Amino acid sequence: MGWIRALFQRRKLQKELDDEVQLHIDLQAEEYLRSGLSEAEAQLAAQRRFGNAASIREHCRDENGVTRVETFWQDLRFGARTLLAQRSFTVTVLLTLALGIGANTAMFSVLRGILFEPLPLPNPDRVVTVWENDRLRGTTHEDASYPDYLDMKHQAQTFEYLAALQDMNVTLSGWGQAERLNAARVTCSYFAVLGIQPILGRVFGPGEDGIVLSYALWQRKFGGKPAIVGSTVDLDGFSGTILGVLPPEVSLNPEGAELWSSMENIHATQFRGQHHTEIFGRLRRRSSVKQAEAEMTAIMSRLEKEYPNDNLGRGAVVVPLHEELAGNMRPALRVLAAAVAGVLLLACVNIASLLLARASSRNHEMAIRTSLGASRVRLTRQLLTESLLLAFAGGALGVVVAYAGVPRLAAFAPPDTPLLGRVHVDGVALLATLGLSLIAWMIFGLLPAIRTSAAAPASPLQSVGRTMTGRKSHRMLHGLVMVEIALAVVLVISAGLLIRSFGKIRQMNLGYQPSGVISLRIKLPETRYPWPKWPFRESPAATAFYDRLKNAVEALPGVESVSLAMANPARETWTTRTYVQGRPVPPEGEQKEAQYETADPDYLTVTGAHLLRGRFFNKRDDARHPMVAVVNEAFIRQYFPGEDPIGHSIVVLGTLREIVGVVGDIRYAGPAGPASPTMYFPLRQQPWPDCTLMVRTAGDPAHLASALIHAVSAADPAVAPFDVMTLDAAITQSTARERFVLYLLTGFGALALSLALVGIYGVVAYIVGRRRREIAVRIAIGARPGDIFTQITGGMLRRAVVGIAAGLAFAAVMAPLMQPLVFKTSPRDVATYSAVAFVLLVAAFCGAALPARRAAWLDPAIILREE
Amino acid sequence: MSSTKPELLQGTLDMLILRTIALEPMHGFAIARRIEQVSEDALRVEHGSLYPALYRLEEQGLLSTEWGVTDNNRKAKYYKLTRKGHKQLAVELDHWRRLSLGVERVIAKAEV
Repeated sequence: MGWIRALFQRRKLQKELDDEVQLHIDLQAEEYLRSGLSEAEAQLAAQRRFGNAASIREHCRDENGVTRVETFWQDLRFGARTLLAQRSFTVTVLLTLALGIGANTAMFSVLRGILFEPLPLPNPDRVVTVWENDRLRGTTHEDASYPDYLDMKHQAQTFEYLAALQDMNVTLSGWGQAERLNAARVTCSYFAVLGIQPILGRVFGPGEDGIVLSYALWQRKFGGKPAIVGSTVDLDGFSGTILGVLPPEVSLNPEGAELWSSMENIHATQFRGQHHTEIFGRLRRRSSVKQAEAEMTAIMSRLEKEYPNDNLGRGAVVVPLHEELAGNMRPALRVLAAAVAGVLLLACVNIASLLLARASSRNHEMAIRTSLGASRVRLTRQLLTESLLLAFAGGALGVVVAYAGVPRLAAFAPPDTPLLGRVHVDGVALLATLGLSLIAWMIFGLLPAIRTSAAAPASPLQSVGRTMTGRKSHRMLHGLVMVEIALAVVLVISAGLLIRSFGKIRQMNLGYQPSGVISLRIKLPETRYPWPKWPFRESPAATAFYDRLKNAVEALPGVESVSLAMANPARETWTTRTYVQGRPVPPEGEQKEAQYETADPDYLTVTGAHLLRGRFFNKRDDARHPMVAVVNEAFIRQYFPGEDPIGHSIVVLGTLREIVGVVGDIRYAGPAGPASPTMYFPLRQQPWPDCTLMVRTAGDPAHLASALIHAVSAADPAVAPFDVMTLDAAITQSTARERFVLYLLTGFGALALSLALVGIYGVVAYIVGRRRREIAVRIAIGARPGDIFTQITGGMLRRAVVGIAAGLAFAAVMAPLMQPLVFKTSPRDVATYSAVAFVLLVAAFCGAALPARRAAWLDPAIILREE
Repeated sequence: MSSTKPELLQGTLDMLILRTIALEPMHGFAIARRIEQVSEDALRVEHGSLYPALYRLEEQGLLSTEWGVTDNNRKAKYYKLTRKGHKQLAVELDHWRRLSLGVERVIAKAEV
């Protein structure tokens, strides 16, 4: 353990040794003095007798480890000086490391947070969601109906708890300003399913009414005061008591429910045919997901027999909650994970080639040092220390990039990505990436170091650039470059495919003009606007309100047209069954469903959708006049293939309606979604308590927002508008996820391309540097600059072609991975592949061009004279 | 200072150092002198190899050191045998005796 002492007490030990040696010499001198020599002679003789004090001290120090430590410090200092002197190389390696480690760790942390971390619930693998599916209509993942849930609850054996949840919007009043919130109605078993305990108060029990707050809401609106437990508030006019507050980790619901109220308080009717209930369950310890699914399917088929009208063709599927939350993102996340690996590999290869090139270029220096007496071990150690220095510096930079990068990346993600709040710099990811880089460094730093130190000193000293030294290392370098190019091709292709796919999405005809339109939603509180039950008929109070509002808004400056409808075109609407009158009626379970939308006559003007045939609604289409409907082209394809529907009647929502017009398809599900069959009813013939106000303006619609909110309050202060959005923003949001992945992959593609470019440049520059004499000779005997240039760039391009071909092949093999992400584009799209191949060729050319140009314009006289 | 005196191999020097210190702790110069004296000047200790040997033995845990004062009030580093050193010395002595015995036998045979 002497080397530990050596580390910390270097100077002290050195002095001790010096003292000891000095004493020895002195004592010996004294002896000689006694035997008759003069003082000077005695000293000299003593010293001579002792021997070479310096090398002896050296040996001693070797023994107790002082040398080892000193050597290390020396190496470090020398290494640092060398690296600083070769700035471009150092900077390149550091950048590569920083980006490779940092960007990848950031990405991986984001992925891990979303995809891999277990949910913050007790035994999270036991928590599942239960969905219904419809065999006949081919759906796989649908909300269930509440009566179905009740049956499941009574009959299921594999579950410890089952709970139902319904999303809702409520206006919270009675505490400060009235506010519209996302909320959920749940059965009391919901909290048992999740297994969470409230941090304050309690949750409602069976048969009990009550309200439970989320932590965020409690902090934001109620100031975090414990005293709110037991107070009463109003939800949509109905009073409820706040029973408790849930802990902050419970943010599993992407809708962001801020408040949970008891299912006892239901006012909407719960038919078996209405599906808007989500079911959560906690499996018994011994039950598996498969068993639960089998049981649920069995229950559903029993229900199918009991209630053929409602449940024909309906089955069940059980999905673990974690998968459910991450589900949509899975294919994208897989691709991103692959991209991370690709870039990391690319960075490692890049560093390898740089290190290799550099190590070879120091043959001369190593040869001199060897001939001066440096041992091979020493040289290797020094080279390794240098690489270590680089690796640590790069690693530190990488850590900085990672910490800076994670929040920025997370900001890019669409806000409704589940579990996004838990994304943080992942310690494991960081360590893993650092570890990987360290391994790469060891392999790629060690090899060249060993080879270099093994070089026989004679040959490099004699032949600085005169012979073709290092043929093998040139081949290895070229090989590495080809690998880099192949990797870059794959990554750029994946980015290119997404770009093309996104372009296709944007090209999709939405069927209307979203630009310039702003919309907001209104919910009329039932207490002030009593609503007739199903089937709805007109409510005079509501109609009066809508008229007041519309007049007020039309008078606002900048407003071109105003419309009221059930929903705006950027939102999917409800569906219901319908059939054509006068034709054989299919049994209820087999009747096809279509979307429906209620709208006032100005709907087309505001949205910019097209009327194709017949007429849209006018002022006369109200409750006192014949019931009418307008349908879209997709509806015709489904119900009247090849016919003109105008004049026919359909039976829908319990009413007979005559079709009076046809409009163009509107993609309610966003540009990437389908055009579904849609029916339109006049607002006055099918009024709705939940309404959307849409306004078209000439300028920026966002400027109207506050004016509109005021107008609503002016029409009735008790009505709070919510969901204020411009249609443009809504559509952008609907593609937010695709755009997120697009940005990320494009970033990776760009990164890969730059790394490859750097690698190509580095290798060509190095090789040209090694062959300077040869090139100079050739110029001297008559070769033209053009020839040299062509030869060098040609050489690199030849190899680039090989790399590109390999990359294309690899990309084609990996194509299925990209399939779920692309829209109307084949993952083996020829246009994209060709474009990327071309881009990489150009990149290879550019990377080689600069050093080639320098080589072509070498002055042979200068080169040949230097030695 | 003639060089006809046989020089010591490293292993042998180690053993002699251990033997010398076994009797009493000494500083480097004294060790060298003692060996030369006791061997009646038959052995010559290369002073240059002495100190590396001492440091090596200390690293191996066979010696321990202590700073002390010489008769002339000079500061000196005294070397002392550890328990491990004592054991090692016994082993070394045994080896040496067997070695020299064997060598002796071969020489005797050759002379005949």
